[in-house]
Amino acid sequence: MRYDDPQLQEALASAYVAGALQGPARRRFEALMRSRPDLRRRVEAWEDRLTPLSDATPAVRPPARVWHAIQQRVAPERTSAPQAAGFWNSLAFWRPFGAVAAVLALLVTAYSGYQATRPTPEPQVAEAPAPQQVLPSYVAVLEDEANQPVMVVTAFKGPWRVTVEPLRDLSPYAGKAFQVWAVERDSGTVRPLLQVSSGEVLRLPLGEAGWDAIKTSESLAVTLEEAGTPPAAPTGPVLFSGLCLNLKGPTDT
Amino acid sequence: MTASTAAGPSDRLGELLSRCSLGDQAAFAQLYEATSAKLFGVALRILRREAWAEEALQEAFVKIWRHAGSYNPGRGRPMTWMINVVRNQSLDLLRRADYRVAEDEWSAESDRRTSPDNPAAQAETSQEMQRVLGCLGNLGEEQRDCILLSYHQGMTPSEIAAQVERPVGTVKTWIRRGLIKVRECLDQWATDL
Repeated sequence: MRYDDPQLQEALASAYVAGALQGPARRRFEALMRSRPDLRRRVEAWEDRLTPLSDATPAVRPPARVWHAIQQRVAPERTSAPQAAGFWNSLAFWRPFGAVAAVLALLVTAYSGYQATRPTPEPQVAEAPAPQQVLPSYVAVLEDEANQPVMVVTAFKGPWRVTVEPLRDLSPYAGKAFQVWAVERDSGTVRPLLQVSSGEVLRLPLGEAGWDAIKTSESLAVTLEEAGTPPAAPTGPVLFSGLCLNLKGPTDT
Repeated sequence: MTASTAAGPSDRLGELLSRCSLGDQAAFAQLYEATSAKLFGVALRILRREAWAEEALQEAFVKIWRHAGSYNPGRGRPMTWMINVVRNQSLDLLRRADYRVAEDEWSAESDRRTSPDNPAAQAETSQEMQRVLGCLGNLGEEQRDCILLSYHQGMTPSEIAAQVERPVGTVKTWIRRGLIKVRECLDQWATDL
């Protein structure tokens, strides 16, 4: 067979490692390499010879979003990353900025969120308080790109409702609001959830569509939009994002 | 990247890789912390666009995680293995058709910071690197440039041919023969030891 010729093997292996083997020839060679340990050994020998050339290549610290995107993909139970399709669905765009940080922050904030949303026996509540479920079903700690927590979104059921607790002063420009989106787990589809226009704690009832959006979301993300009816799709960059965590396990509905 | 301990950063990376192959996420985080800046630099040098380099780095680290078990500790520097995962990912990305289309818009943007003849980029050199550079230095200047443009920037032989104003066939021959001479020169080094 042609590829048994050691000279040809050397020529191909060296060109491959040097980056000179391109296009279909490169792919063909890679396929061949999988079934040919002798070729693989030659390639490894060439890697050992030439890779020291990279020693002087300057190190450049990558932005934090790269690590977060990687984590999303290597974390257990998350084997099906949404396929990249177009700008809004591309790469790490909708991936939360800080997955691990979000979970850590969750431990700190979930309890305080729970405390903040526990119905207090206020005297102005005229009717007998409904037996509301007070333990949250879903929590998302949304962080900015510097991994600083910005707001906590907590969803409850029985009845369906949502609480938004800003963790810092949020004052959108005049006429603008922070639009919270739910990013669907499997398809990456983005659905509008609610708008935040002040630093006040926001408590809203949720319809079935809203509950479903949260239930099926991988993460929540925030963009700055015109106050009022949300656009069909985000128009601005993602300002804050965070994993939407199911606190009751995968069977909870 | 900082060589954290005097006692062999390679050993430490090798250990982290073997822990990764057992599914140790903490080891993976440490591996990323220790190597991502260097590997991003390698991707950036080939791809010259940050967004693409980010994508290549992401894909490469997912591969490193999934294939950590296929790194053979007896083989050599763990960094060599990881750099080549990143290089291959970057070269693939560079050749994908949709990226080629966008390339024209950017052709003016060449990154001088990482061009092969920039001496500032040579600040940190290893003994191994000195040796390869020494062997490359035995080649003619044009021949050496062809190899470095291919290695560092993933330029195709025809792109190099256009840059050095030589026929493609000549460039290919230069690269092939030049690499064989480099191998002979490095083998000579090894036998002289």
